[in-house]
Amino acid sequence: MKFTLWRFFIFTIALLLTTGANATTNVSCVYETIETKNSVTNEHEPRNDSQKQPSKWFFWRTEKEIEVSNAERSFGEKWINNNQRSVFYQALYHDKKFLLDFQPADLKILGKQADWEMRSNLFPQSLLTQLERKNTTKFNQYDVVRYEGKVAGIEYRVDWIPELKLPARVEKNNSNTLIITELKEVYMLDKTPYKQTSTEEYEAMDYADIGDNESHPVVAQLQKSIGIGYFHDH
Amino acid sequence: MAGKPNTAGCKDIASQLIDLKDRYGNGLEVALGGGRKNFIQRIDGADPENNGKGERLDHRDLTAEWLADYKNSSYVWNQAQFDAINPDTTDHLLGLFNMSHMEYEEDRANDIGGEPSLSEMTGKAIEILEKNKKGFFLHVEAGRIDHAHHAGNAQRALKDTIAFADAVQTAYEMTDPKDTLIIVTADHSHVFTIAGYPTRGNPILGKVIHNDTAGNPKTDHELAKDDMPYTTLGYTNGLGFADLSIGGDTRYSEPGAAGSRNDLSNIDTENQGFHQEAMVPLGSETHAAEDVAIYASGPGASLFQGTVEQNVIFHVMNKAGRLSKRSGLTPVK
Repeated sequence: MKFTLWRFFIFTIALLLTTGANATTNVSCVYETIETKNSVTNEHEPRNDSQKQPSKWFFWRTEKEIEVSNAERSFGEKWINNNQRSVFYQALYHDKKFLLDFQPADLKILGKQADWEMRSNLFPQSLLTQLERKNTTKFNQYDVVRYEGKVAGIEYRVDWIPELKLPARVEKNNSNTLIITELKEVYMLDKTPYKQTSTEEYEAMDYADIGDNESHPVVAQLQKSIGIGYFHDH
Repeated sequence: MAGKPNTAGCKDIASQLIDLKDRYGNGLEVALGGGRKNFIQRIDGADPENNGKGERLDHRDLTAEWLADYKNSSYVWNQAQFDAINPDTTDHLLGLFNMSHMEYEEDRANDIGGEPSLSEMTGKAIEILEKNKKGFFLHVEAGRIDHAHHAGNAQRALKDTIAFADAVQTAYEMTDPKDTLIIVTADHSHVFTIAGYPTRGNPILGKVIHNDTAGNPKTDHELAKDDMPYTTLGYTNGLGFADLSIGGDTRYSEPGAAGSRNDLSNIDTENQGFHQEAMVPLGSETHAAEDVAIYASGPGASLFQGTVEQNVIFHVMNKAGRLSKRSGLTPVK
């Protein structure tokens, strides 16, 4: 009997640890991304010649939904994961009170099937494990672990918050471009001052219906400007 | 439905379809297609396939209402359930096989839940409807021919057209032309062109090959004035050329390429991912304005002669089925 209980106890601990490891913290974050183009003037001396304005963006995450929005809150994207099998995507044109609905089949044919773990953690775990673990620091109350290394010709320096499973800072440097993404603010979702914009009253259109709506004012405008089904990669 | 139309009192089409029984007879007997999200609530788990949410905010589950409202009724959302339907014991069948539109015929085999073909749906519908001794009206639409043309993808448009032709054949073979009027037509055309002079037997999706002076096919593709080959099929507007791994609606997420020529020498234009060249750059290919054909068989079919207004179709149906007379309403002259 003791042996059985002991095994049950170990199993329970293992289960709790596993659950803890997979649990998603519901958070709201503000990130800032800055991109710098390098042009090489001579072989040994890269010259920094153009730096884009830093772009701020919002990130909201629950177990089933991930949403991002630009700083102006005019455009956002939402990924909805119902059963760990099918991911739906919405392009949210907040300034037009309009959203485009992408079905899993649409994402499949577009080759845009969302890597949920990547979207949820903003950095692929498979890549993180290839980097070398360095020192530990703090971001607010959270422990941060530094990871560094070069994978496929790209140098990474990642400050990782294990508790949130999110990066505090990501430096991605290839020969042409340096992209730095930094966490500026983080809140538990129910305490955030940055609420998600409700889309309940938005006009919704299926991605497959775009072609038959050439005279729709929003569709026409989108086709002329930023394009249909704009997928942002941070 | 959200926003202005809803607050203005407009009813969404899905609820109109279910509520039809409150206005006309005992409502619809058969409705098969896509658009499932418009029938189920916006709550977790509402959708049986994806465990996800629908779009309805009025607390109505129209699929449940369909089952509750009718005796001998069924609701199906995948191929296996559809195949299991016994038409002899089913009087009302609702089939919603996709949250959005059903797949193109080209992509149907890849659908997760499985979708019946247009021909299969037509056959099942007729088997259920023909039990009514008073006759029936069945509307069959191949709606994605239009979508594929908008995307500038002739391969999918033509494949869906073939699926539609199969459905017409099924309807023709399952009914008797002595008592069943079948009308086949379109609600509009597209700016879809067929360039002249490819040799007989040249693949319709292929590049043009001419005949030589003796009337025999040449071996090389014909070259345009820019020394590049050209396809038999093309569009006068739209997003234009693309050679994608998967064609169709994917085209909307790629840059437009209309208004200029592309060297198609090494492009497989018969591949499903090929999108034909277009002249005027637009966000999507457009409808066109030429007359469309009306094909018919059965009682009243001979009334379709020459060029007619579209409303003539109604009058022919009315005459063949004696609809207004049987309805007891004022006869339509």
